[in-house]
Amino acid sequence: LYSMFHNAQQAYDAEVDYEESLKRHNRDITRLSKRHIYLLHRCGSQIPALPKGLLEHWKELGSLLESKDQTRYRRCFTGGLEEFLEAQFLQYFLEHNAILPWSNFESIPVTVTPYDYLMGLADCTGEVTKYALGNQEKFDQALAYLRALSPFFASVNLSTNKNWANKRTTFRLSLRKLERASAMLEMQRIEYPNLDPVLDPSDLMADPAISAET
Amino acid sequence: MEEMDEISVQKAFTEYGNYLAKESEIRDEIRVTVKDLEQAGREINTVLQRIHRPGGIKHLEKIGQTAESKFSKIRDLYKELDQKVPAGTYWKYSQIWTNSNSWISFLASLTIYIKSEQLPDKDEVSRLVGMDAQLQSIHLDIEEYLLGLCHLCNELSRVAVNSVTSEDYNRPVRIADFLNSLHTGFRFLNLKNDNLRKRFDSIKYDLKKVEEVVYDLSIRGLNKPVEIQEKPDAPQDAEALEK
Repeated sequence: LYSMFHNAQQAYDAEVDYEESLKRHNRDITRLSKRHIYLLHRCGSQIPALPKGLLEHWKELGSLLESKDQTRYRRCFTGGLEEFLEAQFLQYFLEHNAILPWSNFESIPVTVTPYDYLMGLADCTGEVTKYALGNQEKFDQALAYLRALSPFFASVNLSTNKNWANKRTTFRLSLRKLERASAMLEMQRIEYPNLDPVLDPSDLMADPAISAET
Repeated sequence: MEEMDEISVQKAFTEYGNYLAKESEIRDEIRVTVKDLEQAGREINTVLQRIHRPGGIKHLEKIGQTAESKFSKIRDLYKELDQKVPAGTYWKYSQIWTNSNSWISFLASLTIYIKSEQLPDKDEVSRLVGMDAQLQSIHLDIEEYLLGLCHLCNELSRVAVNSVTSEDYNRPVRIADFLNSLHTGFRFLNLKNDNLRKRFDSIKYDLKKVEEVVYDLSIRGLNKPVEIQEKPDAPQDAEALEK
């Protein structure tokens, strides 16, 4: 009887240790991806490449997952994967003014499912909105970006997923924020036709739709 | 916005939509079989519950046999379930059947215990329910087996109380012994704060209840001084493992 429990303990402990090692990488990937996103917000015209450390974590995660069933351990790395994709979407938008195509992201050792792709895309729209409200040069492109995605968000039926409803609501809020800001700019153009319209941060924050927390 | 990008996003959306539709078909199929499994489990449970009835404890052998025969239906259902799970996707759908597995593992453990009064081995349980090596994907997880043992402790504490009602005054001591070893065994596990941990805590209370029953019997002198067979392996094993 005791030997059975002893064996069970060893197997159980090994599982816990293994999952922890995956989660450690996941936390680092999340942290570094978020950091890269903040950097992208600040960087201006000189757009930095993805940090090497980030890709190395993916490599190590990949070697840990070798010969294992990825589906089984998916929940250990799915958070970091979403953040990573979000960073890539934002980067691609800043570099190319376009939506990162399905086949174009940085190759990583885990299988990227359409689900991850869509979650990352949804999160990225929030970042694009934030960027546009701070950097006016990209404003029109950001608005076009969100408008291009709008029909998909409206049409896709992921009702089985609780997260998706939140992402969709957030997306709608982001789109509304940009459209409100766009209206503000248009008002300025009408009232002061000789001046270039400027998004004043205090005006933006005064608008309840734009300053609303998502 | 380049058209190419819209197309690729659309592709991702439609691809995912199709993938979800296919997946939910499989999930529905699996759920049907799991429901059948639970129904079959309830039939077995109804049989096993007879041990709690006054006097039921005397018919243990017959009850055990009847319960055992009903497991053939469970074996067939697990074969059916196994066929519905596409190869290599066990972990995708495992949440759907894991609770039923734990419960059925408990029913099997109880059936085996009734017969032998020994700890039902994981392989024995797997064989009884039909989750043996013949199936391509379905197997009994160690966690499910352990959860089943926790349920078993719970049930046995009830048996201890009811066997007194049925005038079997020696059984509670044997059950106390058994629960004690199980409790010690479980303490070897370094459990995370999950479901299994909570169930493990409940074993303590089951053990306490049974010990109270034994106490009540012994102060009334109903506990005949029968030689309780010491398990000679137990202390040495614990020592060796402690090293």
